[in-house]
Amino acid sequence: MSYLCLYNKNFQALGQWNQHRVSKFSLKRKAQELDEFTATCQEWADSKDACFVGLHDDVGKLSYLCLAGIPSTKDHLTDFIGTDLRAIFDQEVKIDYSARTSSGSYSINSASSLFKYLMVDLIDSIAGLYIGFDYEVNVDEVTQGYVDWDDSCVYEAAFVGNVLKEIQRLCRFYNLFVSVEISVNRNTNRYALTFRLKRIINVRPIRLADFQVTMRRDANVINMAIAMAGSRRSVLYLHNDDTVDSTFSASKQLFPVKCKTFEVEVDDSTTEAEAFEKALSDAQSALLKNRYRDRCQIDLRNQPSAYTVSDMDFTFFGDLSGYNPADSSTVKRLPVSEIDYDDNGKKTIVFGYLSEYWFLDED
Amino acid sequence: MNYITYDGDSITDTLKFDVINQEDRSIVKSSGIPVSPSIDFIEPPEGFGFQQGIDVVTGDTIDYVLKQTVQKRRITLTLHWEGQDAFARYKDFADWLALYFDLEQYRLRLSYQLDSMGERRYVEVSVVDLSLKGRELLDVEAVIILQPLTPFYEEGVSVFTVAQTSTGKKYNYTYPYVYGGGSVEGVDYIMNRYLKQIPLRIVLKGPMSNPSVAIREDEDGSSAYGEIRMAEGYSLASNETLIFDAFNNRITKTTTLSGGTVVSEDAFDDVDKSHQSFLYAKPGRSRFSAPVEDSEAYCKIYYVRYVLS
Repeated sequence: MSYLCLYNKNFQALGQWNQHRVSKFSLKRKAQELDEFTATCQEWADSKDACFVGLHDDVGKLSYLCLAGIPSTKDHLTDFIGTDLRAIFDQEVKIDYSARTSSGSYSINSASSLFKYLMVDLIDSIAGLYIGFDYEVNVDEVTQGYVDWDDSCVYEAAFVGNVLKEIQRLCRFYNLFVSVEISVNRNTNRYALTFRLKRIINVRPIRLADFQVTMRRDANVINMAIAMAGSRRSVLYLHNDDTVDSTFSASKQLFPVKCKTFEVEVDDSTTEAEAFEKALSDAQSALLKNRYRDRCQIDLRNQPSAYTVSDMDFTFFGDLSGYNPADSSTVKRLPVSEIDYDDNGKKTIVFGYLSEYWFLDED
Repeated sequence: MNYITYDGDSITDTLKFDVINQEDRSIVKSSGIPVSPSIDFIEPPEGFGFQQGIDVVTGDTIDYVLKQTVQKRRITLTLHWEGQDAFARYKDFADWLALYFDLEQYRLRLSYQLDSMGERRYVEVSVVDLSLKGRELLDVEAVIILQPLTPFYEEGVSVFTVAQTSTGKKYNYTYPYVYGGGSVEGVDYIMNRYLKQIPLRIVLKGPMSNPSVAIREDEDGSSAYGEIRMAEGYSLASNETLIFDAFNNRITKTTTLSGGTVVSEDAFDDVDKSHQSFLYAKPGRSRFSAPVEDSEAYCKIYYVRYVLS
């Protein structure tokens, strides 16, 4: 049995007798996409000023928190369709990775400074967006030494883009994800929000034959990209081990080959080098987006081996043996992308970044 | 000559309805007597006992149990009233049900007893169907279908912790809260003989600084598996109580004013959010503790002894 509680933007619980029993809920937690949360509870008389909705377990522990949206009430039951807290980064703003310090060096020169720019500086001070509630961003896990800086992931020219999509793109580049952590401020006894960048660093071997598995693969994606600007040209490949580089390897080739060309015009305001860098970045982004285009879904209900995977979170890759039934000698490495559960005790874990709504994806 | 008597024990004579006040779990009374409807005769009930749900994976030799649940079965009773005014008495029964229909406020309770010395067993129910079958001569019959909201239980028990002023030593004792038959055990523990964890209703009475209550398994060195704390600096005055009610998912602070008026307010937001808000006792024996230092203060824990059927 769970209950819902509404909070205002300062995490003050709203209403009198504010613990509302949940009749049903469904939560899909996702590593790279936004979570999906729906719940139905006892009628909520007053949801004015509601900012957050918290799902509490039977002893009162907060098990999930998201933005409340506007609840709807019918037949004495209130429905919530929550919005993932990471949606605050879903903003179209001008992004410029080329800022320099007074000494002339680039301000963004590490993975941590890159994500701090996107998640703190850009939202808060540069774009001047007022999100409406306090939060912290923690990039400690991606400092130099843990995540090696690769400047090919950014390009110099400024552009108007979506911050969330940039974060998602760069997370895939570095094998990271943004985790939302809820702590309690001891001084105020209020919840506090932290967006923490975490690395996908754990690996666990999994024998697919032990589980009831639903598999979906999307082979019809761009796996070769040509970057062009002026006289410059480069080809990038997405390999069958989900790596991206400019070296062709016949043993790693994906079939069928699907190529897309990214050409940036050279004009008075853009040098050939800048244009090529932009084209290269676009090409790389297109291929990175198509890494792990698999969806391997394991239903953990009624599975005797469920305990072997039930503790896995988004920091894990699964080394899936039996992924290709014709090849028992190799494993497929896929990250945990989704963990679903509901009020009926259903729990599923999904490996690979192929969306549930993959057929709606733009190429 | 000796005759063999075929009269065995019977539960139909002992079937009884009463009503629990959901707010404080007390029995609803009228003129000091528990409220109960008038019924002349009840046929043997259907739906007593229990049903177990098990999720099983079938193996070649043995099956593997993944999950075990006790499922609640609907109870069907056929009720009879006799006499010229039997319909009127059926109507009184229906009116009585309507009076205690609000599940937010009341819980209708059905109970039975196997023999005069045996423990009475209770189950809290909701009426899902009442259908009048009509009159046959002097007899009017109706069928009522009840949805159990709890497992069967034998009694509700309150456990106290109080402090002795002179020594500061705590005295703990257990006594049956609502009904007879409970044992006095004299220790600060909760005994849960049911398969699953059971909800607790905890009352902390002031004066008390930094009110809290913790529960742990009754083993040396075991750490608390459940703990409720109020926010730093929170205190209770001698006329205040805090109620953490896992039966209703409510945390209430009551203040008794000088005239005796009791004011209740929601205290959910003042609970330390890094701890739990409600406590459940695990199967087996659990000990609890609370910072009861003053002779006026106490910690009272109410729970119910659930049984399988």
